[in-house]
Amino acid sequence: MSNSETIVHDVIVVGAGLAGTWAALVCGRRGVKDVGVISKVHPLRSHSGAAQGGIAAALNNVRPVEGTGPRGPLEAVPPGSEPADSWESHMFDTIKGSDWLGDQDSIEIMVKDAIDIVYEYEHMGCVFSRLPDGRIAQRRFGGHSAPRANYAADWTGHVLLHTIHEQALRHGVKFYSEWYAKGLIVEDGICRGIVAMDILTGELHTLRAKAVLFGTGGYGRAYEITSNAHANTGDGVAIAYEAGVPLMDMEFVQFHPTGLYKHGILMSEACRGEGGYLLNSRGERFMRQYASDKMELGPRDLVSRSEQTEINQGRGIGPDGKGIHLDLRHLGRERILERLPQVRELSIDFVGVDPIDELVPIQPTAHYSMGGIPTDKDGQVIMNAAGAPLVGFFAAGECACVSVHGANRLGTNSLLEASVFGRRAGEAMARMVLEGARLEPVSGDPTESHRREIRDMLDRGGDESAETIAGELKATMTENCGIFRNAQGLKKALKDVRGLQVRFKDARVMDKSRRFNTDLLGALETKHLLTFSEVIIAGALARGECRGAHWRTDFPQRDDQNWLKHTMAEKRPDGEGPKLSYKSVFIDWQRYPPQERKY
Amino acid sequence: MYRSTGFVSFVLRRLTGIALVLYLIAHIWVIGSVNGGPELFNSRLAAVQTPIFKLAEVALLAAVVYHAFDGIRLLIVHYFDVTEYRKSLFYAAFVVSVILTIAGGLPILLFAFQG
Amino acid sequence: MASPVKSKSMATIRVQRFNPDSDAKPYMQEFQVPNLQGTTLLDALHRIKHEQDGSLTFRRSCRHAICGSCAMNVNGRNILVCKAPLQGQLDRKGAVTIKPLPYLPIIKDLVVDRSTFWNEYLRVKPWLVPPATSPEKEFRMSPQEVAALHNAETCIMCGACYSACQVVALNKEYIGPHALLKSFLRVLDPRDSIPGERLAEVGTDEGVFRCHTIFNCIDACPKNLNPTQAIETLRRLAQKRTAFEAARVERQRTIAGSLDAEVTPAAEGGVGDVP
Repeated sequence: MSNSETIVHDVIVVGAGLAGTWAALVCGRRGVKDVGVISKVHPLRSHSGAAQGGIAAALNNVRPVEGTGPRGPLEAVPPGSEPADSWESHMFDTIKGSDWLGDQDSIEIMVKDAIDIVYEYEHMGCVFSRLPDGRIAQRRFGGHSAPRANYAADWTGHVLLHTIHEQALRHGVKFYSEWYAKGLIVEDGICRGIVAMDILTGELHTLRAKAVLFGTGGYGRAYEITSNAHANTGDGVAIAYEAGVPLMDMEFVQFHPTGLYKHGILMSEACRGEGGYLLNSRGERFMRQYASDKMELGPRDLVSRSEQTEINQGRGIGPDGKGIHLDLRHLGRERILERLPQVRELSIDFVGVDPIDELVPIQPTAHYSMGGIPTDKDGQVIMNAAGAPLVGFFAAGECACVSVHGANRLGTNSLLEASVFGRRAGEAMARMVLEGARLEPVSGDPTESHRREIRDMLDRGGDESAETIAGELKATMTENCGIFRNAQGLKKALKDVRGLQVRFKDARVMDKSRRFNTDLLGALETKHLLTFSEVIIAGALARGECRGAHWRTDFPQRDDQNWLKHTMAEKRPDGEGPKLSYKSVFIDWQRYPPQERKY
Repeated sequence: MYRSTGFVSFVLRRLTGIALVLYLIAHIWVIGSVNGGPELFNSRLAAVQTPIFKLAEVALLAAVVYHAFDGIRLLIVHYFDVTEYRKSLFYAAFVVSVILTIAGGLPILLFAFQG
Repeated sequence: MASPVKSKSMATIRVQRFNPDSDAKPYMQEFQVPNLQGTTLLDALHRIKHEQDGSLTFRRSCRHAICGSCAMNVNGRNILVCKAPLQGQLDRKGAVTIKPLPYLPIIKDLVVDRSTFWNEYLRVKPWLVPPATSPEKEFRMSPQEVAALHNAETCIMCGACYSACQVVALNKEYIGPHALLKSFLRVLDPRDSIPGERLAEVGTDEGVFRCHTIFNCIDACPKNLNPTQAIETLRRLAQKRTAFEAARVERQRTIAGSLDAEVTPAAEGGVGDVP
């Protein structure tokens, strides 16, 4: 499209990963046919496809062989026998994994819906790995007390993404591929649409809808070593924040224990789920010191911290001592080829190591964003601790914060969250539209301010590139707002980010053309990185405790008395950093009162 | 064009196929003249027994042999799961064709230029 | 014993540039980047873009060969640049040539217009069409039936095969190896209830019978898949369509087994003589 237009749909979805596509699919099924999905990369390039290990659901297909302990072999559950797993167990594991910051009512919905949604994926055509009797195969995963990771070799996300996209196509969902959401249109407390750029032509368009959903994913690219794709720059989160939506729990950033050394590329947790070991420079399975019961199958935040501690104390591997060894040799050739083929290829292709007979160098990598746009259980975005909705605005998946993961997410729960809440948000939006929601008017030309901004970015002749600024941001975030944090480091990070925000105002964009300008795109993404990084640091600085993935060396305890609450960060109109407030956590004090978190 | 042995085989297959069709036309042109009486026939036959045509005969042999063995290669590829050996099969077909062309071509040329 | 490639401190990257809005036709441009071990071609492209010429335009996302964005033509072959080590692609003079995927219209520099690619993908109906009634739990699919799909399951739709195919180059109507591979994935899946319709769609002159077994697709595929084999299989099945459809109906009688039912291994599956 080369002239600015106003496009109207009943529902607009931003992001074509699992969450967004589910929402669009459900709308289509319920009879809301006029759905438009925009995605800044082609839908099949969405980062949901990079997920490897599995999607959690207590299907009860597999159980440990009796008497063989937590790392022993697994067997199929014979028909008619006692269930070995339950949604209650999944619920408790998730609550504990979240370090009691997860809202338990939302978690209950997620783990109950889990069973149904995995079967639905299977009916839609996902090719899962199978047991000999034809049932979906399950494996162990960190933080789960039963083997409930339903997997497709080690490319589960890929299979789910392709399947859901195909089903959306089948139902006639319209995809705007390579369109970039630039702004959220909110007037008088109602969301009316978005402003988006057609990357091909560079033209800005207004997209109006009765309901808008963001499924825009995470923000790992704020860090140097990350498993995230280049596209994961938290644009949705930043745009919502700019439009006045508060962000919740942003300080909780998960570092995955096994990213490929120096690259950060994800080596699935399934490596440990299948029995892999983590070794320090002395060849010791150091997890014995930190999680004597679960060892390598502790939750990710715990394992990453353990690795980082080993590294900080001089027992890391690699030329700079910042790595750890992952040992898969004892799994045997056959098992690796059958269950972890992609992981093996990545290791060979990127670090030249064959895990069948060598140790794989890995290190913690910024992986998942627990925080994001706060929503209720149906994906409706809320504006404050009381739950006041922003009518017409929904969010689901990694960019949302329901919160089901609280302070730390368990593996295989993210594919689950995106699917369950994408589906629920789709139902909610469909209901809203079918019950007669109005297409709210939009005043003036919403694209005008964005147009000006882009013109300014293209015209200014500064020396520094946006990429340099992004690089410095990543360095300070990694150094000062990473796995271990303290007040001094966080204050420095805040100062650095604010300095970078000022410098950004003069950052130049070299590519001046309108057509497919990825240089401009990169600069806009850098702006967004700077926006939400400040929110992460502010939340981390304020939170004086250790909980889940947020670890303050100057406040080394979890503090339920003062900090058993969600952080809400709102943009201040004067621009002086976010205004922080707090929201209570839903806790069933009878069933799941907070406990000490030991593994 | 994207280069590969598969592409070479594809092009040669097309070229030899066309060459064989052209040969067929020429062949009918010569042999069909039998209906026109011994003089016509002999003159046409002589026309295609000049030295240049002897070379053309070798080329014809090459075309026939290559087309045949590449054809066999294709049949094998179609009916058996041998994609792992696709390059080896192509080289094998090619090499056999070259050998047979030389084996058959040499006598043709020797006889032609002897007398 | 340093190889000439590794001992050079700088590598020469020859990239094809073209902006239809301002250039009459494509041209080659040369850049120099440090020849570092452990870096990929994508790293090199990023370095050029960030430090030398911000207008160099290319697609990329995951950088670990799962998203399929970065397929390009390097030294004459289609590869994913994110997993190609820089040193492995340099010739003896320390140079590498990068062009966009062939046979597709160029949008800008290394970005191509994949509309025809996606249209063919849509044409083969990539979604599974399950039987009218689904079981309460999962369909019972055996590990062997799953293994038969491995060739197609991991396809990331990167376009390397499509753009390497000579038939695609010469023939605008050819469905293409990517879409045929997708069709194979669905045809062989015992849960799919329209194999006959699918075989009718692809068992034509524009589909499986257009393939000339040139094998460029196998050479190009970054996931080591075998579209030619898939096409061959579809050819055979297309010729036995009725029998295959009947076998599928038979298989679907037992596919919705319950936990109390007998096990259903592939041996009884009856999907025909599938290799």
